[in-house]
Amino acid sequence: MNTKKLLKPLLAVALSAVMVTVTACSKDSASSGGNEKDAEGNYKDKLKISVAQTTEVKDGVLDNEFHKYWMDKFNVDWDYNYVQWDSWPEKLRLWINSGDLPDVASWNYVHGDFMNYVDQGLLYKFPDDWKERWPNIAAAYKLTGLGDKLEELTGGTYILPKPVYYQNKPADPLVNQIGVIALRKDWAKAVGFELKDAYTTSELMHYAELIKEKDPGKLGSKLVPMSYNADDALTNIIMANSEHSRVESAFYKGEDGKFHWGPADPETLTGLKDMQKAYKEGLLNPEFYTWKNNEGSDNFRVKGVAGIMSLGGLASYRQDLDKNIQKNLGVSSDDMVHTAIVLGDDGKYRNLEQVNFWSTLIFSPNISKEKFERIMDILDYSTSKEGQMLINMGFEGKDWKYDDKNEPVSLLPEGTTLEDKYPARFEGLYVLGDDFSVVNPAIKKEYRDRAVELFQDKAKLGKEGGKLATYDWDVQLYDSKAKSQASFDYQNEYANLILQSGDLEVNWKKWVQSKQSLVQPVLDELNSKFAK
Amino acid sequence: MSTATAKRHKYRIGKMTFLDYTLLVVLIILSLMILIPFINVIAISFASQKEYADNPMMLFPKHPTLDAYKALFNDGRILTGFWNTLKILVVGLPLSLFLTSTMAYGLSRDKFPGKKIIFFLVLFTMIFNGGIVPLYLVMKSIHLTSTLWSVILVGSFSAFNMILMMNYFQGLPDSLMESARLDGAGEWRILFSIVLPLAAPIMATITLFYGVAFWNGWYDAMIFLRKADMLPLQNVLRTIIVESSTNVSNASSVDALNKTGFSTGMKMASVFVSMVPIMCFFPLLQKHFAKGVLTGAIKT
Amino acid sequence: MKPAALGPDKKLRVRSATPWYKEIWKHRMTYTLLIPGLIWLILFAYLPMGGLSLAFKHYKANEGIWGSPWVGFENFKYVFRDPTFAQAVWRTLYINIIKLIITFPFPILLALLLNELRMRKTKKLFQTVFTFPQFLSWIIVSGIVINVLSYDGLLNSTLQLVGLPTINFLGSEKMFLPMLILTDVWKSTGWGAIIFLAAISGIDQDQYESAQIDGASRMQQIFKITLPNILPTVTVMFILNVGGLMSAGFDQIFNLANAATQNVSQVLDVYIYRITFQSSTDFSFSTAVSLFRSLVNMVLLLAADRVAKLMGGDGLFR
Repeated sequence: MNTKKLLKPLLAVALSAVMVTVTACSKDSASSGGNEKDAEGNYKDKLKISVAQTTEVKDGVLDNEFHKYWMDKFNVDWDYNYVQWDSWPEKLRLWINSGDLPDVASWNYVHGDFMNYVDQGLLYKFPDDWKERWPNIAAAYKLTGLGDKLEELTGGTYILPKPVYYQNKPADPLVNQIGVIALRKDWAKAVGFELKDAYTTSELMHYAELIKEKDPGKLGSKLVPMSYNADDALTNIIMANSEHSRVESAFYKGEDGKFHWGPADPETLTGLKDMQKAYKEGLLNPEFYTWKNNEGSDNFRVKGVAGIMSLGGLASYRQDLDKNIQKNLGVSSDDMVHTAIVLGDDGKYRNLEQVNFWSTLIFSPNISKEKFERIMDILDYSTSKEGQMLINMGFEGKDWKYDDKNEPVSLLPEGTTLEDKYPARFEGLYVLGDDFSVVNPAIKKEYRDRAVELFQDKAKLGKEGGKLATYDWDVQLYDSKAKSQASFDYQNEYANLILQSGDLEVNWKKWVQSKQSLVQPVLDELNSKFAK
Repeated sequence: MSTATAKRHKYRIGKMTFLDYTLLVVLIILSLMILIPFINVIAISFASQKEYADNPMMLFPKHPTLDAYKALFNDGRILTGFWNTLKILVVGLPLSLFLTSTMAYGLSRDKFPGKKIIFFLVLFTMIFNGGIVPLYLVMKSIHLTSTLWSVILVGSFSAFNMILMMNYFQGLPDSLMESARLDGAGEWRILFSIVLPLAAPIMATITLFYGVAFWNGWYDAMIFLRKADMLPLQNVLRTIIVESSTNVSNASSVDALNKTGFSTGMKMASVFVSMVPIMCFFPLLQKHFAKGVLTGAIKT
Repeated sequence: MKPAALGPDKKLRVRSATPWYKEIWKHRMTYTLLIPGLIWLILFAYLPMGGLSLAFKHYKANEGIWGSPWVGFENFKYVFRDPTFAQAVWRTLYINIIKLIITFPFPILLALLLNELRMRKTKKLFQTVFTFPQFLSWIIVSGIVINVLSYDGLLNSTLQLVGLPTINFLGSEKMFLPMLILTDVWKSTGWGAIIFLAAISGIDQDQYESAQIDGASRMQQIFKITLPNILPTVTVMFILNVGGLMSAGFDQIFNLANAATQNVSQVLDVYIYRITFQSSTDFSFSTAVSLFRSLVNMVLLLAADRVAKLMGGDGLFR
């Protein structure tokens, strides 16, 4: 046994010695690392880097100029692994657990899993001095908040949370972009409905009733007054009334210093009642809960049969909406769309405090130092101003230029986007597209201004008498078996509740009761740890 | 089967009664219940989005259009899917037939030491399996993850099909093999030159079973494959038809939401397109089913 | 489509005089035939089966399956504490038993109908039509089903046209099981019928002839000759279906369920999928559940087999 134990490292040393000599013989200049640069500042060694992302990269796309530029600049070959949306968590979990992770991958951060993975050495540990060596990444990383918190817990850096905003944060406090709806402006005028920047859920339902009654679009039975899917209904009806009704802050510390479960709050029932009313009155589609992805918004943007849709607060969403409407309905969306924030029935504004990250980047624990450093070089460049311009606007002089006011303007032919020219620009691995969408000249200025305006409204409403669900780091970073067992698909649970026959309040109480055996242990644990 | 039915028909033919006509009508109605959904699917795939919205129950589009098909093939994914599934079939079918028939023939031989144990080992796998993670680890240790081989290998043996085939082999007359054995032929030669030529019905049945399993499979591919250009047809179809909504509720990112939508017409076109090959091959193999299945399943 | 007599021939045990190693040598050729299949079994069934030990371990990826520490029955403690687990078990049994009871007779009926049809060519055509849906994946079928059964789909539009109330097939808890049954009958009846049809064609024709000479009507012939003769096949099919009660229908449910039906659609396999891949727990937990499912399946299979034997049938293992 002992000899065996001794033998192993010896063998490993011997083997690596052989490997070193072999590589040293085969390459003349492999003496120190693979990231040496030649006189012109180019990397000497070509590295094949495997990357896994949810961006679909079709055959041949890697040959385009954009990808070529990155591959040449950093002397790498992309080995791109496409992760389908609907198997993203499955795949990553499988890869991480079986030690089969690509060099770098996007992973939707789950705290419990993260702690497990770190504990088991399944994620690459960054060198201590990484923040000095790659300052751009470090600056963006700092803004996520999560990074620092996790370092306190684990004593090192294992993941790079992707910042939503970096240079272009639209408001403070930062509120989640969700909870912005689009409604038909032309119909509102036709039925005499006042245009405002914020509506209560009841006001919106009133609008829906009005257009259902007067049918300004002459659509008859095809009209979908509120084209929400289950998730949209949760966001724009339930959450508007109950800030802790979503999974992000279902467990929260109340004013009494004790922990509570949001779905059991009476406010959630208020939201549910609104939602059921909307459903029963036919304001929601009879089968809204079966809709996936954009089926709900398609009624608005493709078919033009919806009065209200859930849009979200980013300027790029508004731009996409404009494009879709132009293409499918042949009209300008500016005459048709009004965007607004949704308030609760009590007039208070509710939303989630936005943590500044969404999903993370992780590295294979078996990655070589050279590859890691090369990837970090790439990320650092992609995070710089120059890199951001390249990713979001293309090449200067060819795809865009600075005008006389030193503002960047797009040179792409009217009606085309960068995505058409260079599809699947996954190289923007780190900073999310949200950030640039605030200043992106490819998006109409009015849309960008309106988005920022709404973000600022949200921040203001949230501060002044509103109820923002704060991001409770204690809860978020707490991990236990009980907590992971008590996770539910709330949008589906709620949709299900309002569809049941019988009294909603009774059903809701019964439902709350049925979840107690999973919820109570979590509350007990949280109370014993963090309550005062 | 043929002699039996022929005999019966000779005996009964020529007396179409009221009962027979009722029967025919009932069967026609039943088969319409099978067919109409297909016709509807096909009709929608040739209709424009607008026409579909106006009349979802159409059985024939008034203004047929190929738009959905054009969009589908322009998208290109479905073609890649076809190509990959074809590769899986071309390698997987012969391999699975080889693995299954050798083992089935071996186990159909007279008693030999260990026969029962080996048979039990096969049966056991029908009820117990180690789960997907251990399987993935094995696949990884032989460096086959992210290759089509993983999908092919996992699907290339089924205890169920093996038993079906074994039972069929047991039903073959022993005398033929015995005389070959006396002529000095080895078991391998007997299998390939005597048994298999006699086993057309079961081979057809098993080919179809494996073929359909490969054609319809998506789970293994979802687990083992990594590249978009490697995905087989059903996985492509899943993204088009089922479009499972991932729960990325806290997704505040533009990245999370830029997914392409598919129109109903495109969905139906993809359903039709992926059905066509089965429609072509199915009748060819179908005439063998009854005999293959029955002799495999019920020992006489 | 399912095997009947699974066991190898049981011949009279004759104590042979030849020593075992000679027996083995004598059959060496047969063993070589088994090698390819055995390699497959070892690689892709038995090596991974070591993973079942995870049910009693705390899985640590860095230490591998073998190195992970044993925890005894702790995983099962969590399994049984989760109310959704017990619900999933009962729901699975409930859905599959009802489905089995209702759908089981359909293939037999169809086989009888087809058998009584005298036009041979037409019969073949019908068979082709009825069997075809079996060979489509549930992914494709779900595409078709959503098309036909949605609120503005084919069926409901027709109902509306003739003035009947529409039925919410896809999104109501009450209609979920009927919807499963309906789609299952649509997809599999024709295929199931083939087996019974084949069994019927194996019946000795003399029986019919003598019955006709005795003046038996066609109905009488069905009840007196056809049905009793295919009873063994029916028994075997039934046993096999019972054996699969705990794991039937994953593909169907996975591809047809939605938010509205999630309470009634979380059967054991869907539950296992969710805890393996989606909720944040470890693989030990889901392995424990899978092991439990396999055990129940085995018990069910053996029980059904025993019952069949008690009732005088053949059973699976002779």
